[in-house]
Amino acid sequence: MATYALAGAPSLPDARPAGGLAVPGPCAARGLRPRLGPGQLPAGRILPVLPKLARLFPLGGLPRGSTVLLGPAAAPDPLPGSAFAASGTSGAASQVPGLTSLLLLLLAGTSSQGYWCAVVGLPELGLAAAAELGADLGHLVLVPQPGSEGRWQSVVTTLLETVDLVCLAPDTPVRSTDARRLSARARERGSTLVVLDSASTHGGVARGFLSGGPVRPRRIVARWPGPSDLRCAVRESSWSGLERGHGLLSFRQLEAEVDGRGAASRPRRGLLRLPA
Amino acid sequence: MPPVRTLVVWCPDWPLVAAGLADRPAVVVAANRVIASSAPARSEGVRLGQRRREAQACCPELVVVGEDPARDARGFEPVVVAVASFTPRVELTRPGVCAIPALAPARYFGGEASLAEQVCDAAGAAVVAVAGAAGTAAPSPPCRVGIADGPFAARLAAREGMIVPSGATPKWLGHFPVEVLGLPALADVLGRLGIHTLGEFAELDESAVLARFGAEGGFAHRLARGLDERSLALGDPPADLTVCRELDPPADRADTLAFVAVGLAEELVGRLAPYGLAATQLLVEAETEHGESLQRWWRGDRPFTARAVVDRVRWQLEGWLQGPVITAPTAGVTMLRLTVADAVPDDGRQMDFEGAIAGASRQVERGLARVQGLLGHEAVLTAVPTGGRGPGEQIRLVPWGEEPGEDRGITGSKTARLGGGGKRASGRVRPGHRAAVVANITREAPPWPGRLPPPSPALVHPVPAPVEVLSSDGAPVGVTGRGRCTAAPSRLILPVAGSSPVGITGWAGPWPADERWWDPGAARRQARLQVLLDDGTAHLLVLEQGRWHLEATYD
Repeated sequence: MATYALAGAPSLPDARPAGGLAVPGPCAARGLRPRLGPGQLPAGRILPVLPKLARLFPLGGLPRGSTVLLGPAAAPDPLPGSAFAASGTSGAASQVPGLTSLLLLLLAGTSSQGYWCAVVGLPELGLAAAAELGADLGHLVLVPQPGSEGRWQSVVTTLLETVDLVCLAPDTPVRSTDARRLSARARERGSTLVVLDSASTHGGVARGFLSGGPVRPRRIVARWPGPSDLRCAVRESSWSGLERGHGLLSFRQLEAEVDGRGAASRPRRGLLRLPA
Repeated sequence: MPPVRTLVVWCPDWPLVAAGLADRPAVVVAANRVIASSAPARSEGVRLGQRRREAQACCPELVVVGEDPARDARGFEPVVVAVASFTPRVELTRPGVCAIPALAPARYFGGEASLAEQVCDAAGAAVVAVAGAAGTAAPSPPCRVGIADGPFAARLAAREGMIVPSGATPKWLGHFPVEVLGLPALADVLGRLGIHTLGEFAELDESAVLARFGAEGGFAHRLARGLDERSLALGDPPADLTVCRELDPPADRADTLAFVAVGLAEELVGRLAPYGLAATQLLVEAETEHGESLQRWWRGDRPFTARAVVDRVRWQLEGWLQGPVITAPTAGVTMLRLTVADAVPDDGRQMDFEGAIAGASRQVERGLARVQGLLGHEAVLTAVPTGGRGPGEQIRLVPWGEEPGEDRGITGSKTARLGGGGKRASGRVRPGHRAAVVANITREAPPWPGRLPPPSPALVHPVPAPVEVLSSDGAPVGVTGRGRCTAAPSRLILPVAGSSPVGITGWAGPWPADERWWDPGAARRQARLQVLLDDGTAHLLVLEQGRWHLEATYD
């Protein structure tokens, strides 16, 4: 995995990753109008994202009716087991933290434009962070405990008919029939389904043992088996500002990757500097 | 059409009487603000609208109870029965306040003064009985009665316990401050325009008020002029505004009936919608197998939403089904009927004059109400920024549809969204206090020393997991009384089975927080530490009572 110099590159959102990566679709050069297939969507069919994310998405935003998977990068699968023991060894690529921040950025872009967003599951979502990243909490609806098996599906279905963007954070593996049905419902109702499959990332494992109390990670197998039109992942994450005994966590840098089907089949990467 | 001559019975401090706390210092608190207080509490200096701890500072032995409209409504039923012995057409505004038309009963009972006296005696006896059953003494006087033209003026007359002669209502209203309208935002703007009384407000040109303050302001202007609450532009509501449901098998629990009422209320509101109307007065009737029936009129300060309708049904039926044996039904309810008795043009959820309503479309409201139907009212939440030091304390979660309240100087912008919102707002009028609008404009949050600066963590763990923080020589790291680490943290042990210590590559802090030291029950001493681990993850640790916990993750 490539690394780059983090310091001394203040305008990093525009920077391309340094050498060593098979650099996919450049971000800024081709702008917001990528080549599209014949089934391209009109502008009103796209939910907005923050400007700094727009170039990652082939249509400049989240297409309505699509399913977006926020999951581990398409690297080798992580070894199941301890959250932290695997760090620095194999599977590290999939354990990069930052998916939750990516989710918050998506929520910020959509809710700040007056669209309604709902988050199903994920009781630990940091809403203060969401507000700092620009989300409009007045347009954000939370269903932290969506109920047991058989109940949460109807909750998500109802929300897909109700709001513009539904984020689902399953804490157990979703059956593929359910996944297909929810994707189809999103397509039919023109809302966007964002699935946070953070089970195998750091945050998800932290969730697994922190929320329930038992010390074994429970959610390591949570997966979204269904179709997804777009896939967002974090390939690199680093913090700056915190030293040994002084400083403060102040900036972080994420390298996000978006790929998917159709126009998005060529992965796009971009560096995000937060907060900025 | 002249306003209807109305008699209002007002029971002071009703929530406290219902809670059995009227004779000792006690307050009812909603969203951290005092919304009702007992007479002993007021004599100690407790005021409506105070924060809980301000009230407790005034009066250390204060009993604080939460708001419970269902309890209030349950207790109020005997009083309604007493008033209903004069005329069956009792209209409930909210628990503690009910109204009857005065004209015809006054003729029968020997004049308005005589009617008022007899109603006052009967209702007072009922209040004393309710208070006795709840284990408290009723306030003195237990209730007050007033008669005036129109329900709004009659409510004010009841507070003063007087009978306003017919036709004199507009002049009599003139000396009241504009705060009595129950619209704090409007009252604030009017105050800054130099208009302090209803009389001054009523002198303004109606079309100018309508142009500046919209439908809500126009409505308030009508009230200030002593006119009927009902709009003149409206003809009679269409005839078929009744929805009815037969229950088989009969239902004997209020929550079962409330579930039925959800469907009925949706249907009723949906049936009004094509006419562009919203209900302001509602008749709820229930009938049992044995032919007993209970009917009550409900009037809302604002048009009823489907949710507000369901609430009224539940309050009424809980009061009936769980009430005293004499009035309680002997069999299950077989029929539930809702009728719209009065309606006003529905001007929808447009921007009100604050221009600050987060316009939840009907579709969103309906969908979220359905999710609440599936999971319960508390399961659908919205977040409201509030003050606090910890990452989880800076946000307060409020069930969808409830008023966010005004907590710690920062308000949400949805105060006017609810049908029943005006009721609580009117309890909190603070003359001279700058109202929510101002806070919305300035958005000035009070400082929270010791609060971590942004960025905030993206994950705040609901149940912080215990961790161990070790120094380089393996000794546990603590924090001294002067707020310094006893040693440099070097390794972190997580409570995952079989995990080895993770190296700490960066750390900052500790940030001590010594909160609520004046309250032994709620006092907390904490110290927070930011750590960066060698796997690239960043966390927020908190030390409390000698134990480190992983409070949040900067994911």
